[in-house]
Amino acid sequence: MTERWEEVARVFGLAMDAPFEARAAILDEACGDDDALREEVEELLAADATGDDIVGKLGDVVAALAPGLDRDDALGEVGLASGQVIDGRYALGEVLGRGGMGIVVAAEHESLGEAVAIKVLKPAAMENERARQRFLREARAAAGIQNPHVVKVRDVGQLPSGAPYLVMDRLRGVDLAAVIAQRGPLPVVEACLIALQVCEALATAHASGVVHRDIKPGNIFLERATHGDLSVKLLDFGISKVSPDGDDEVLTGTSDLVGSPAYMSPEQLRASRDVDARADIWSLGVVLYEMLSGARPFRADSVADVSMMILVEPPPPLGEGLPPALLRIVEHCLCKRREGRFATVGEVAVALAPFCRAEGQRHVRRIRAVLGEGASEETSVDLADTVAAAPLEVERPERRPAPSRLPWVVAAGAVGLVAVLALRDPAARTHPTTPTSNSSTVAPAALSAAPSASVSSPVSSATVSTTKPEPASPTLPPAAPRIAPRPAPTIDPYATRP
Amino acid sequence: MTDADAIPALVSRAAEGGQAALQLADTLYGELRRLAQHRLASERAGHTLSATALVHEAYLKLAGQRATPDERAHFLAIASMAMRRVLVSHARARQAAKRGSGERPVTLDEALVVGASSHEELVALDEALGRLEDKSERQAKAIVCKGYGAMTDAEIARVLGVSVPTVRRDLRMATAFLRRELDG
Repeated sequence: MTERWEEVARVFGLAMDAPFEARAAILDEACGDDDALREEVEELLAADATGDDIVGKLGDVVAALAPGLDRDDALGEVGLASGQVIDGRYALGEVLGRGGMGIVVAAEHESLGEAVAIKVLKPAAMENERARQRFLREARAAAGIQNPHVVKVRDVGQLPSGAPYLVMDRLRGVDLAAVIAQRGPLPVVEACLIALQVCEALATAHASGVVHRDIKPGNIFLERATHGDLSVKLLDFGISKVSPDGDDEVLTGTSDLVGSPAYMSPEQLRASRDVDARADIWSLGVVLYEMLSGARPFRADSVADVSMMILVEPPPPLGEGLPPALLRIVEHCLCKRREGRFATVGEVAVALAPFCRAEGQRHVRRIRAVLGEGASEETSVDLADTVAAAPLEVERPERRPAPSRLPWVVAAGAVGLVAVLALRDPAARTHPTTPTSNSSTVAPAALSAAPSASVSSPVSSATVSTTKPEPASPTLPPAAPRIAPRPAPTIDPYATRP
Repeated sequence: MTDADAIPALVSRAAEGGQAALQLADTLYGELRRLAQHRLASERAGHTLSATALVHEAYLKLAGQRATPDERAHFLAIASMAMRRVLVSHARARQAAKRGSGERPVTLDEALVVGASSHEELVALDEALGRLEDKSERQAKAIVCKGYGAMTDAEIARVLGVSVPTVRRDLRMATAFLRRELDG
C-alpha cells in the first residue's frame, strides 16, 4: 500500500462508522490542514454512502460470464479462426453457440455488410455421411419454408475442408430454454404468444409437408424485434422429415433415435419414421407445459426412464392457478394416442388465441391462410372458460383424477357453459352446449366442435354471462371433473354483455 | 501425471507464497477452465454457472478435506485470482471479437442470462481494480477474494495477514474507490 493511501485508509477507517454529524470533527482532527487528504476521504465516504454493491455486482457479472467460457475454443475445433473470410464473402466473428452436430458462428457478409450466422458441421459429424445429409437437408427444408417465424436460410456452401455450412439470418435475442432457466414459469399470455408463433411457423412447415420433429425450447429463439416485441423464430430443421416417404428412411432408420427424448412423442419414440404433424403438436404441448410450470413434464435420470414416462405416464398436474381451459389444451396436446390430439396446429392456435387478445387472433388468421380456411374452423377444446379465465389468477381448477381417454367432456364452470371436448367420440358430440337456466350465456357453435360449424370466429361469437355459473350439466358422464362454481370474473374483454 | 495431481502438495506450500503459489495459480487457471467447460457440457443451455461455486468446487475437488483452515483460505484466494484471470481474459476476447465484427452480437444464451453489457462491465471493473492495485495491492486482493471467491472476511484476513476489522475497512474503502472510479 502506498504511504499516501495508507493515510487515506486510516482516516477513512476512523470516519466510516461515525455518525454523519460527528464526521466533520473527526476529519478536522485527522487531516489537520491537509486539504487534499480530506477531500480524498470525503469523496470515498460519499461513494461509500451510495447503495451500489460493487462486490455483489461483481459476483453477478462473474456468475453471468462463466457460461460463455466454453465458446472460446470452439472455432478451432472446426478448423476456423475468428477474422477468417470464407468463400470470399463471409468474415467470421465469434462463436455463438454449439450443438451436437455443429457450431454456429457470427459472421458478416463482407460486401453487403449484413449480419449472418453460419452453421458449420463438426469434423466428427462430417465423417458420418448420415449426419452430413441431415445437415444439408436442414438447409433444404428450412430454405423451403418462408415464414417470419422460421429462421431464414440464405445460403449453403462448403469449406475447403469439405465441411458443409449454411448461412442464416443472425438473430438477436435468446432461446426459450435460457428464458425458462432464467425466469422459471412464464406468464400465461407470454407463454401462449410464444406457442402461437411456433404454431405459425409449424403451420407453414406442415403445409409444405415438413415435420420439424425436434420442437424444444432450445430450438425456439426469441428475437427482440425493433419495436420491443418478442418475435419467435423456429430453428434447427436438422432432423425434420421432409416427405412422408422418399429418402427419409435412410436417414432416420428405426435404430436412430433422433430428436430430444424429453420432448419426443410416444410414436416418435416407438418408430422415428412414423411421425406426422401431430408429433410436433405433442412436442409443442411439452414446451407449453414447461413454459407454464418452469419444468418439463417428463423428467428422469435416464433416457429409458424418460421414454417410459412418455409412453405410459400422465404428466404431473400443472401448477395451480392456471386457467382450466389452458390445462386442457396442454393435456390435449399430450394425449398419448395421436388420434386424440389436436389434428392440426391451426386447432391449437384457435384454442390458444383467446389468451392473447387481439394478437392471438392475428396469428390465427395467418395460420388459417396457410393451412386453408377449413383447417382451423374446428377446435376440440372449448373456449368458454378460456375466455372467462382471461384474468388469469382467478381460478383454481380441480384436478382431473387421471386423463380420461374417452369423452373429453368437462364442465366449464366459469360462465356456466357446458362444452364438449372430444371430437373423436361421436357420443360426445350429441350433447350440445346448452345455455343454463339462470344464465343468458350462449355457447358459441364452433366451440362444440362439430366439424360442420360455420361460425368463423369462435371468440367473437361468445356471449358471456355475468351471473353465477351453473354446475355441470346432468348429461355429463361421471368421470367428468367438476369445477367449483365461483363468481364470474369482473373483466372480460371478450364478452359481449347482453 | 496431470497437473491436478500435484495440487495437494502445492496447496500446503502455497501458503508460504513464492514459487508454489504461482505454480498453483497456473494450475488452477487450467483447472477452473476445464471445470467450467465440463460443467457446461453437462448442463442445459442457459444454466447460470456461478464462478464462486466453481472456485469452491475446485477447492473440494483438488484440495480435498485434508487441508488446514490456512491452506483452505490460501487455496480459495489463489483460485479467486485464477478465476479473475479466466473471466477477464474471456471478457476481453469477447470484446475484441465484437470490435472485429463491428457490432455487438447477442448470442443464444447471452442476452437474458448475461446482461447485455456484462463483458464491458467486467472489463471496466477490472481496469478500476488495476488502479486500486497501484494504490493498495492488499485491498484489491480482498475485493477479488470476496467477488470471485465469495470468501469470508475471516478467510480473507487469514490470507492477507491482517485483522478482520481491517479486512472490513479495506473492503468498504475499496468498494467506495471502485464506485467512484466507475461513476467517473
